[in-house]
Amino acid sequence: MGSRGNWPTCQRQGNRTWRRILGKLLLAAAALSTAANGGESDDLSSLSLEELGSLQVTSVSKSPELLREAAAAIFVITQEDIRRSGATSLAEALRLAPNLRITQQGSSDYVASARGFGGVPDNQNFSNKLLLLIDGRSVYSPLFSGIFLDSQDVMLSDVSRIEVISGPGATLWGANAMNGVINVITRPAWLTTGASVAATAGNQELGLQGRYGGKLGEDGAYRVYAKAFERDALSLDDGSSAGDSWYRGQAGFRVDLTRPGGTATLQGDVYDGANERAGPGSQAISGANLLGRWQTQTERSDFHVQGYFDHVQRGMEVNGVRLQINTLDLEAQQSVLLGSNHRVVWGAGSRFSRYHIVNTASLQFQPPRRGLELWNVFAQDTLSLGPQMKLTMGLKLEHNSYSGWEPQPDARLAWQASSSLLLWAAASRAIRAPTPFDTDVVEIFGGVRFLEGDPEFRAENVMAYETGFRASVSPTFSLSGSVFYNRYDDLRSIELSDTPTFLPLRWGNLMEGHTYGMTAWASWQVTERWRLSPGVSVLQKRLQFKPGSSGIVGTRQAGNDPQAHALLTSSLNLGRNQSLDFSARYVSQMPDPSLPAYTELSARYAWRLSDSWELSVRGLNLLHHHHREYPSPDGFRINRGVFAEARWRP
Amino acid sequence: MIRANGNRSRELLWSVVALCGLWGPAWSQRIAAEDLHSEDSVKAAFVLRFAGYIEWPEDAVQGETFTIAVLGSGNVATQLQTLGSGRALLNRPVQIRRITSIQDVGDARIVYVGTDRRGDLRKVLAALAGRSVLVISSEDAALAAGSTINLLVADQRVRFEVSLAAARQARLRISSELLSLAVRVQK
Repeated sequence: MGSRGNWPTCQRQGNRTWRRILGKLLLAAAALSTAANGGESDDLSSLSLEELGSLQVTSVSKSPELLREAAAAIFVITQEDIRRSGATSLAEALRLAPNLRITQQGSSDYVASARGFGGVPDNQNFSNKLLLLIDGRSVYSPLFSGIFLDSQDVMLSDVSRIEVISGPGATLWGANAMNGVINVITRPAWLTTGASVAATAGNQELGLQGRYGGKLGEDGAYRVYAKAFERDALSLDDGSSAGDSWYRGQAGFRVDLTRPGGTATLQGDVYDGANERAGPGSQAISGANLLGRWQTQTERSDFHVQGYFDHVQRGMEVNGVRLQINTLDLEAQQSVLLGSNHRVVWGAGSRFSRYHIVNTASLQFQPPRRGLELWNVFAQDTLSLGPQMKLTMGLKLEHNSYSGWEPQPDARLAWQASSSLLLWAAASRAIRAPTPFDTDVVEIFGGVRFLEGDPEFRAENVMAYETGFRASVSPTFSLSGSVFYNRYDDLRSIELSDTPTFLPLRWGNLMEGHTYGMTAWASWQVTERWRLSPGVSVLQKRLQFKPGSSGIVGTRQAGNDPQAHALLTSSLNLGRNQSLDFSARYVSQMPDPSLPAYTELSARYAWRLSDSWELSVRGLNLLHHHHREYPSPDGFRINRGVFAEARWRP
Repeated sequence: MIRANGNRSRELLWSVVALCGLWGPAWSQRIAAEDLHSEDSVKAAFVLRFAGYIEWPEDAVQGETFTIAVLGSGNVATQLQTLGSGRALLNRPVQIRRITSIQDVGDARIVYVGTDRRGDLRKVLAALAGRSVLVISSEDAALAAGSTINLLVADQRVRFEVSLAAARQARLRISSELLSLAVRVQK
């Protein structure tokens, strides 16, 4: 949104030094790997339960089909994946999913998108068709449906897994799950007892994090954690600092209580940080949330009820724009077996958001305070059509404050063609409900109302048709792929007024079109100690304006999306206590504004000194002195990064 | 200028750490107490160990062998075969049987349900209802679904949780020693 100024600094990279040291490290690693002896000679069967529990374990292999029966394009980022990547923030960890595109525009500006629509900042279009859930808490911003990734983080070492679903998931997962759902699931507290501390230092980041957990009475457990990091600014074209350094601190807790018949969970986080901006100065970000959940099970049914409160605040130092959002969300869901062939899931939920914005002269939300309500009821039935085939049909009715009731139906068919092959197909409708940014926004330039929201703005919607497969080709090779065809309607466009100057411009719903593409990934256990995991996503967009539209700015405004991106991860256990991981990614050319394709590589080498100490070095974006993931001026230059980390767990 | 100095000191810091790294592996060869084991082999060792802490009802004792059926999870089955070969439990030779359907459970006393078959867990439990078979699973929410012992990995170590309610239904008695080592006991 604002311009970014120029902070000249004498940032000079010791480029040759990096390369020399890195080269030496790799050589040493290679030498050691050949010397290391393989195989598990110890007789595990002679160890006691206690001894077994104290062994550190590793799994190069990934459970090939963690979500074998799911009729959707789901990629699972496991705890092992996260740990081996060395990622220090949620945004970076999300790069591990081949069906998600993460674009780093500034030091703290990460944009996530799936199946396109990644936004075009200079057209005021932001990625807004994804749902991000952190332990069941929805964190997309109700103001514009986008995700402020700089506000969202978790203690990555306590994450159980991150499920990334491309395609609509609205029926089950909830509002805004139009092009994808990211579901971050942390471990229950009884699995995170004890202390754990990690410190990171590098040429772009300093970070520290710690967690402590323990038992709470006879049937409960708790953990508390805190993490903080400081990251340097990216660079401008001339190599000088872009002035967008940032820091962030977060602390939180989780308590789990086991009761006869169920479990109760209470968890919460607070965070505080500041993103520097060369133009408008510092932007303060802070927030807090508290979530409670009760889950109960009987032989034939699961039930959970959940409520959370979420407070978000962002403010600019210079122009005084501030926003504050408080959200209260309640939901209940039951899953029940009916007869021998039906599994029915049904539930209801409501969300109340109240926001308050301190407007500036040029960017205003009118009214500046408002309450938003979101209600939903849904039901879904999974019907077994014989032993190998399952049909799932569901419908969610969602009511939002602007466009009223919106039906979101979903039908999925899964066929277990053989013990190693699942075929699936799905058709579903999902929407992005109107937000204050679509309906209430007013932009004023030079005293003239330049752009206005449309109070009649309708929900953007998609009909998605997908089909895919998941196959275990051999015990060491699994493959998953899907193709999709998405029909979009009522996408946001910019329309003219009936005045001589055509001003103010207005948001409209006069863009439509379709996208198609594919996603595929594989996991190949080359040897017992080495796994290769390639993944690729391809996207074609065909959008057009509907009759009566002004067509200004063109369909480019819907997102500056590359046609393809790919990922290749290599995970290698080197001998006994070391590991070497590489991750290469390729992103094809961005169309408009254009940016050449790029390939980048990150690497991490870790060794375990003892049961409690692990040291690692990590290189980020190693192939080039600098690269860019979004064109200038909205995207800055990202420099090569080298980091060392020490991890201690008594 | 201050910034440049900051960078230089950071550069120095990481260079020192990186150089230490060259010696680290050699060092670790001497210091490391334990090698890293594969998750699946440790899970398999746990499965074999558990038998010693469980009491099956008298009327459940059947068969010439102590059979462990493995549904899915080829790796764990392989590791079980390696670790279990030539061993005896309850005075019977251990036999590992890979099954693809719970109908093939036969006289197994333990059924291990692999992560890749988590969707079938409820079906397994329904099929085994009233029988004294120890169901061991390895999935986040398995205890809730009715399994008796659930293996989980946390902080790179294998942990397990126990459901006494499920054990009661299967008429299995679980020793207090086992319960004391569980990260969680569901009553």
